[in-house]
Amino acid sequence: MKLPVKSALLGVVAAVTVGTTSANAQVGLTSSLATVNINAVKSSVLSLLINSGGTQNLASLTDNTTNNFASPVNVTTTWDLNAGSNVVLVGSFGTPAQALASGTNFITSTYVKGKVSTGTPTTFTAFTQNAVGSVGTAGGSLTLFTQSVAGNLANTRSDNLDLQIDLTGHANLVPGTYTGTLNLQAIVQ
Amino acid sequence: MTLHRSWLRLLLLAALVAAPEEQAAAQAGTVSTARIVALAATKTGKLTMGVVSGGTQTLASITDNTTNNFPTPVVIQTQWDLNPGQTGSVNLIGWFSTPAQALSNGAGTNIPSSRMKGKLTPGAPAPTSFPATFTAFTQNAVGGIGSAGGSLRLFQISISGPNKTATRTDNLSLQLDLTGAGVLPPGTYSGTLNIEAVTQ
Repeated sequence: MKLPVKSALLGVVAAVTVGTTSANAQVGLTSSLATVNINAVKSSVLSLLINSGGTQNLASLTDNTTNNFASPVNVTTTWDLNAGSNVVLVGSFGTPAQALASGTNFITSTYVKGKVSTGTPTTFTAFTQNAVGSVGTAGGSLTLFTQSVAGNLANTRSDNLDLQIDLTGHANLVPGTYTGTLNLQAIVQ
Repeated sequence: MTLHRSWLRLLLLAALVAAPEEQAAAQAGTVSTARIVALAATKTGKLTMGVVSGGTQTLASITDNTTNNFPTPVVIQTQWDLNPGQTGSVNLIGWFSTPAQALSNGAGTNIPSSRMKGKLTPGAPAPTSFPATFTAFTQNAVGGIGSAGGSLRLFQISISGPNKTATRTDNLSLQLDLTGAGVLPPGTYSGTLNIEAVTQ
């Protein structure tokens, strides 16, 4: 009779032990691992904004002398780059031989000058340079500033571009309203 | 001699016939030692989780110094079949293995997990707890799942009888919060968010 009692007790102990083990069995159960691939793109930025002076008017042109436009073109150049050596601002006329036109009468870009006191041409310089990279036209361009971006990959700057029509030595112009478009564009080099 | 031998044969035959009957009578009621057969049948708890959609998250254009929300959520389905007496809760954890480099442009610029945030739009029933607003992946591991300082518990749901077996679907929205961060160099920043469920 004693032996069956002992067996029964052992059985109870075993059952309790098994129960304790299984009570913990589902703690720490893990699912398989899933992953989410994340991509976030930050694009390079090079922007140019004309703050003021987008329309330049000379009420009265005088032959054979310099004619300064009254107020400058104020431009802000902003860049955020991950590479590059310089940011270059270029002004250009699409057709240098016809920078300004009044019907079939033209003023060439040779007679249009610009200066940027905070930039490269600090004195009035004709738009007769060549393109910079893909920006500008051959013989109708002017580099307005060249800014190194070494250690300065994200920055902004504002500049005043003063314009002048220099008719010094030019034959008398046929009276009329001469209009044209000066293109401004920045490029990273 | 012949008669004597015949009697001997009869006696021997009778003895042979009688012997088995006595033996059979002697074994009736005898029992062997009891033996037991141990039976064990285990149904293991089940916990599975998978990303239904949104396994690749792309931000086409990061803007500095502001929040950048990924356009679509990560849809996560979690299933379990558990013993409520053996399981306190089911937890879903998202984490970045190297919190200091949650996203990287491969050129030495990293975005830490503190800039990555997640919020859950839970399916039914509502979990016991979850990040209802964008919360950074800066928590610690839960039950051995996750990384120190690079984790976010996406939900915790207590297990009881009514929900011991369940399938739930949740939407995890992600955000890259660059508010107050320096200007990031342009580039593509990539990383891997790990997601795993664990019982506690």
